[in-house]
Amino acid sequence: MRKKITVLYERCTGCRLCEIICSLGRSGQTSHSDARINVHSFSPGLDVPILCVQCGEAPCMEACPVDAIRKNEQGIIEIIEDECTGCELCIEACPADAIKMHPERKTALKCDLCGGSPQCVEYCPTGALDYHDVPFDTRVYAKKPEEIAKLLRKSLLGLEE
Amino acid sequence: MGGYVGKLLRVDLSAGKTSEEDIESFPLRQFLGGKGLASHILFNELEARIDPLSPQNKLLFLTGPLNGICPSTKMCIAGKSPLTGTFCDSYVGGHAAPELKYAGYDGVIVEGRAEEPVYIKIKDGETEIEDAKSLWGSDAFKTERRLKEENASACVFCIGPAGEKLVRFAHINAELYRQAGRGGLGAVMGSKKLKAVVITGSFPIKVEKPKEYFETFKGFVKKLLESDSIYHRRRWGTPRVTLVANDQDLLPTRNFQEGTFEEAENLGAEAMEKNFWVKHKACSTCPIHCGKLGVLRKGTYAGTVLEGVEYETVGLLGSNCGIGSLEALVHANELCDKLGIDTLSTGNIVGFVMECYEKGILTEEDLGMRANFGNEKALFILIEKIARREGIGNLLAEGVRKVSEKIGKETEKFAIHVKGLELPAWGMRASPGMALAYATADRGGCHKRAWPIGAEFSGKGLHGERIERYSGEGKAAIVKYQQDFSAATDCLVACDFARGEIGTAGYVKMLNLAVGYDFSEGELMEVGERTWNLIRLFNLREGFARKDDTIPLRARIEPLPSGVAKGRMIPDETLNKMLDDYYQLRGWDENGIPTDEKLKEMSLIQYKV
Repeated sequence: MRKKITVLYERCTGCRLCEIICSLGRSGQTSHSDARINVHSFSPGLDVPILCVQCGEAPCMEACPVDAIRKNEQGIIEIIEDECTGCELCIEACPADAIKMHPERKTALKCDLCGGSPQCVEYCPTGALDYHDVPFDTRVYAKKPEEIAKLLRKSLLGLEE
Repeated sequence: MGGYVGKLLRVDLSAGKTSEEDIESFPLRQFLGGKGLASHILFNELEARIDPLSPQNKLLFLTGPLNGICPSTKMCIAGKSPLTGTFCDSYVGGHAAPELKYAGYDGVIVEGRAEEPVYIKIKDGETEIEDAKSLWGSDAFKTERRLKEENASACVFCIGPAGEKLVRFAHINAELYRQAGRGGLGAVMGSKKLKAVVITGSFPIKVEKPKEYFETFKGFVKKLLESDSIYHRRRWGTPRVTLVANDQDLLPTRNFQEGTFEEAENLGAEAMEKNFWVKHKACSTCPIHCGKLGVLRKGTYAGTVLEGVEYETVGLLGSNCGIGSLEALVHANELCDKLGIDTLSTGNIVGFVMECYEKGILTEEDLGMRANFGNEKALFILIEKIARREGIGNLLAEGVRKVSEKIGKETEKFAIHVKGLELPAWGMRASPGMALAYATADRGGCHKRAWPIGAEFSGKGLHGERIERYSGEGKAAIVKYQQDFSAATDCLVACDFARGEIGTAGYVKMLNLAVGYDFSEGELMEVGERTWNLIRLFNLREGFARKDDTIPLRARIEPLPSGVAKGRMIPDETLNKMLDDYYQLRGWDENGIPTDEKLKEMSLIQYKV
């Protein structure tokens, strides 16, 4: 088993501290673009953090034509930015919309678990981000933000639509 | 220079043109941002005594140097108030302030008036003035949803029908359930034919010393997460104080006739946690998450989703109207939010109407309905009528001061406002300090500039000396300090819920690391005091004087009829003595005018009026 970040969406307050911690810590500046986790907001009042779920069988790795997405010795799937050609095929392949292009570097960007001690989890105020061993393939969590918001409308608010 | 992103956007709606100004062309060291910058811009750019609903007024959306990089911040919206005629700054949380900076701007100045309804679209340094004819008339919720079809994560400020109809206490709505509520800036937006401002950005906010800044930032997040004195805000939000206010005779009840409400428990935090809330909600970068998302599970309004109900709304739309049902309160709150009127002013005015009705001053014929206290239906109908200026609502939309002037019949005794701003949910007969805070707040009857009630409970004065809760002694010093501190942090546009924990030392540390300044704590407080003085000069220029620094007649002549402070009121001599003390501490003369010496000390002598 390996530690993965899973999200308890019902607990997310939409504070986006995870985005700030991620971008400030990793890039020395804050922005949506530099954050490897992004919180999407949906009416009414729903918040959906999206980040790489570290699939067991990872479609992004299969899609990368230059093998720039690899599992490191810790088992963490990461993008080797120096080797990324910016073709965006991984972005298309990701079932969770968890990969994006960095607007300046023009290379793909995603969560790499901060090398094993993810800072966003440490500072999440409500425990919406959870980092523990997961005994099954986390690919089951790889859903698009819109899809998760739809489920939340029902589970949290009891709304159909 | 970090912290700031470098530019102010100016949008001239009359000419349909936009332009940019270098943020460093403004006196940042003297005013920082937010409230301070607003005072500088409005004092210098507005002619005295303009009609706030004319194209001559300006509407400012201002951030500060710490938005987007500091825990718990807000957006400052400012202009001349159509409700009070004073300088008016109103704050709203959510995510728009960092988003505006991500889009490349520290602030936006909106001026002039469009011919036809428009909205402003700001995206990564590009600004467009778009046609909003098809949105005009839509409520705030529909408007926001329509504008977010293109991008669900955009930040939207918009007005509802009330702003369009120039209701003098129309708010500006944001992220469905958040509002820049006070002072009628939504009507200023409506007068400019501006339906909405839509913001999206992907640029970064930089800081001067990223490594040190990051460690400092994380330290304050941890501090807020671990603080015992913040915990109650995290769990119960603002309604944590409903039952405290009720116990202490401070909860406005039936138009401020009483300070306790027999049904308060139905409207308290415990009831909301059990029957309404489903999760916490937070503004950008804030671990406190005082917001609560709720859904009504049963009754006529089952399925209603709302963030709240905030304490001030509980006090005004609830107890002040004699409403003790949580479901009715949620419904009334939702109506105000989407139609675009301030819940505080609205609840205050409806309470006034209900008292007039019970006293026979306004009849069923005048109103087209029975409007006794506790009448839920009357509350809902009056909200709709006010927001659309229909029937009696057209008069009520002018605010309680003008309504009382029009009705006459000694109703000024129970028109509960200061300088035209309807009072929020803190009765003042059980708190002389609050009475002084209301009398001297820059935008009229406001609880956010100073809130000395906590100090009165603790019995400790500004320097730790013993003070008596019901005495006027020692209150001026507390009020002055709190006003300067809140003004200073409003220049950073930091939220009042975190500022006690972060403190001047914390803000100065972050400010210096982010911007590269060498501010001391004293200098930060001086920015607050300078801002407060410049706003005083703005208001004096508008014709305000000592006679306006007062409290409603009811609090001065009618003792509290019940509760722990039964028999208490604020006689004129108590108020006058506190006011004398306050002016003296401020370095203002006995008429409340800053002395030349004070203006020189504040580097404001060139603004003398």
